[in-house]
Amino acid sequence: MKALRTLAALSGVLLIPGMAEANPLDTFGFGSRGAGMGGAVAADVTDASAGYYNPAGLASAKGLELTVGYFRADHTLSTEGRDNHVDAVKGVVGGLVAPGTVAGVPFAFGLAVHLPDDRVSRIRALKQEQPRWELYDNRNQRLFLSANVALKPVPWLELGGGLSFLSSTGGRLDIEGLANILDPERSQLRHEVDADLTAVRYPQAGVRLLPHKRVALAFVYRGEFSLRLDLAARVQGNLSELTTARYALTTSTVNAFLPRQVVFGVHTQPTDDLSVNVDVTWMNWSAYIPPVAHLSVDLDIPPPVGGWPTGVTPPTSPVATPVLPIGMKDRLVPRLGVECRAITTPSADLFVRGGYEFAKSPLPPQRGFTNYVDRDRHGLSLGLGLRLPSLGEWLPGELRWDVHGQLHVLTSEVTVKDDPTDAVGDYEASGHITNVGTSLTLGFR
Amino acid sequence: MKRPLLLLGLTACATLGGEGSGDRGLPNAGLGPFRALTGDEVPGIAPFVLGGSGEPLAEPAALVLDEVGPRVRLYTTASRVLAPGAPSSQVLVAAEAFDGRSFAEPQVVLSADAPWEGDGLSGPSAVAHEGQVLLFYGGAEGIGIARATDGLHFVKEAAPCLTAAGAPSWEAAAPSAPSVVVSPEGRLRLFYAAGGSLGEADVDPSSLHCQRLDADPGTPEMDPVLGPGPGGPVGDPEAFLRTTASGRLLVGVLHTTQDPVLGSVVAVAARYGLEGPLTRGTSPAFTLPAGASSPAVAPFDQGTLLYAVSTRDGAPALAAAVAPESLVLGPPTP
Repeated sequence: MKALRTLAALSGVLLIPGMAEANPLDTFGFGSRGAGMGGAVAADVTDASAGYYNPAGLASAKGLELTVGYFRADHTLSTEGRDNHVDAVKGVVGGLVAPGTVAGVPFAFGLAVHLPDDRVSRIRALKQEQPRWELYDNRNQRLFLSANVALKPVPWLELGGGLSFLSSTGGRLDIEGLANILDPERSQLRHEVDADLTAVRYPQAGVRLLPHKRVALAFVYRGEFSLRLDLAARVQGNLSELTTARYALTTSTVNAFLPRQVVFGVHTQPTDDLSVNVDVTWMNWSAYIPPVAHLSVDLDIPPPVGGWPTGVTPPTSPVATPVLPIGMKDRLVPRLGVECRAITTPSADLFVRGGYEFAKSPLPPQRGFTNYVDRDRHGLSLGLGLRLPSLGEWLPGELRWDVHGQLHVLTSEVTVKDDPTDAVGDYEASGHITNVGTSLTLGFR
Repeated sequence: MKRPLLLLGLTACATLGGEGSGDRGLPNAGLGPFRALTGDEVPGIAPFVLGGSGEPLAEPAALVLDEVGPRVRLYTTASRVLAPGAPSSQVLVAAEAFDGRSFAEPQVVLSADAPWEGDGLSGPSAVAHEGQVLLFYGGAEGIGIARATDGLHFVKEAAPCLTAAGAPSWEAAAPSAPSVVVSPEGRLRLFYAAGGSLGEADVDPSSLHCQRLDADPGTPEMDPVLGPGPGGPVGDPEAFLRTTASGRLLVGVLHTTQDPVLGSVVAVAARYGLEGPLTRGTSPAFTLPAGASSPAVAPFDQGTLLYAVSTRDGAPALAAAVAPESLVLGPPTP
């Protein structure tokens, strides 16, 4: 009975929602050039970061390129003036571009990866009513890996596409044996665990149009992605020769959801030394799946002949938590990026970059039971880039070193509750996020 | 399958991450749910901080002397012999703790000596107002008031401020179990129990005259702010005021009621603003296996402490709890 009571408590614990995750690159960018330009590079990216921003741009790579970098984003997000200690997002970014030709058509292959310092991914289950920074808390704690190909069939058209990868988890736990309800220490239970890690892929594709040497247009599609965690537990046992109990529990959680995205980008180059880019991203937040565990419990403990002994009360099945709709809205995220070649010499070029983005919160006002905290976000970016076009005889190619800094400001707003007995009550929320990083690219010509 | 395993193998070379946080400093309305304190947080047997078979204590009221700590003075009822050879009587005692948990031995602060008080006093409620401590308490025929500048040596008002005289029909017994709060405008509001419901009165801060308030002026008779609930009668109100982040005045009232499964529990009711009936909460704010009743709250800088009456060694004792539930208090500092 003690074992069964423990499992009843466990199922109660699992009656709580999972935490949504997505892609840290959506918030912080990939590579220091793109991050320094506010992420507005869909129409002019040609390095390994095209594996995220626009795979079509890989087709314009001039030679084999290897990129490695690192970034760290620190959150200072607070409610009612108290820091909620949202974890930092940090890790290595890297990529590879390998151009070539196929039947005379320029072709390229690219790999892009973000490896977090701390974890491949994190699953966190919270109650619906517990306040959490839904888009920043657990959402960006995951790995990113993508592989893409691109080709340039005509001089003014580039096409690219590929897949990104992660894994989902399913598992089964079986427990059988004898449970001694009067002396739990004498229980004899056998258990078996079976877990399965399944690869999940989602597509991305891009187009780049080059109608003029100083203008480029881009269209990018990123597919929807969800990561499921499915668990099943089954317990069957003899309770001190009184009766045979059966307990079955299944839980299914979507703890990572990346909305479908479509990006339209424009690159202009008013002068040889100045680029001005504008990107607009449509994000399909309305398809967001609430991060709530769907739980099914079946507890069958037939009473023994003659009834239960004195002092023994069998547990009852816990009541499943109703899943409340999250009600997110689709959003358009505008981005502006500027790059200026400030200094140019035969041996080095220096670039200065800046950017801005505005992400209106897709979450509705949390007036009721749930507390998915979010605020409108303004992102300001600055970046520097140093390009060494020739490294001498020992390395026929160029070296690019880029650094970036971002400041994201989440505007203050008060959440107002309709129910005066709400345990959380009205609260103010606001904050800022700082992101710094660097990347080094070696290009072979 | 191989690709994800290879991927995991690569990433396994990285440092293993911790559990992470993101759940600190979360907002909480102070209405619960409350988590019973553990053995690491109280000096004795958790979750009890005072009372038990050594000296049964009940009906606590908390006065926060300093939000840092917090330094709390608890007023409770106790049975004491006040003179050699005299029978024991129910008196009001006070005990202090610098951390809200490590209380000194309670000392008598008030005893019954007026005809209307009967054989003993009950249900204290203390509030700091204009440089003095006002102690509201229950007697046989109603609710009385005493004043003290130090919160320990009280002088009683001559007559009770609220009795059964002029009471509406739902007050089947004399009002008792007072709980007093000070509004932002400096007015005193008194919540009390009578006839299985909760009533409300306005207290003039100068004259200390109590005037009953009607929760719903639209009906012919004066209405309680909270009637009996699904579990039965309600009692032991503990009121507190809070201005929310949106500037609204939240009036919260913890109280005792019965749950069909859990027994005696601390429940919550609340409203926005100084007028009108209370909205009943859907879940208990605090429960204990041996039952929980007569709540008292002590808001402090990090959260809210709750004191409630339960049973220890077969006698009434005061248990302590905290909200938000994620808040962990350090070791007690006796």
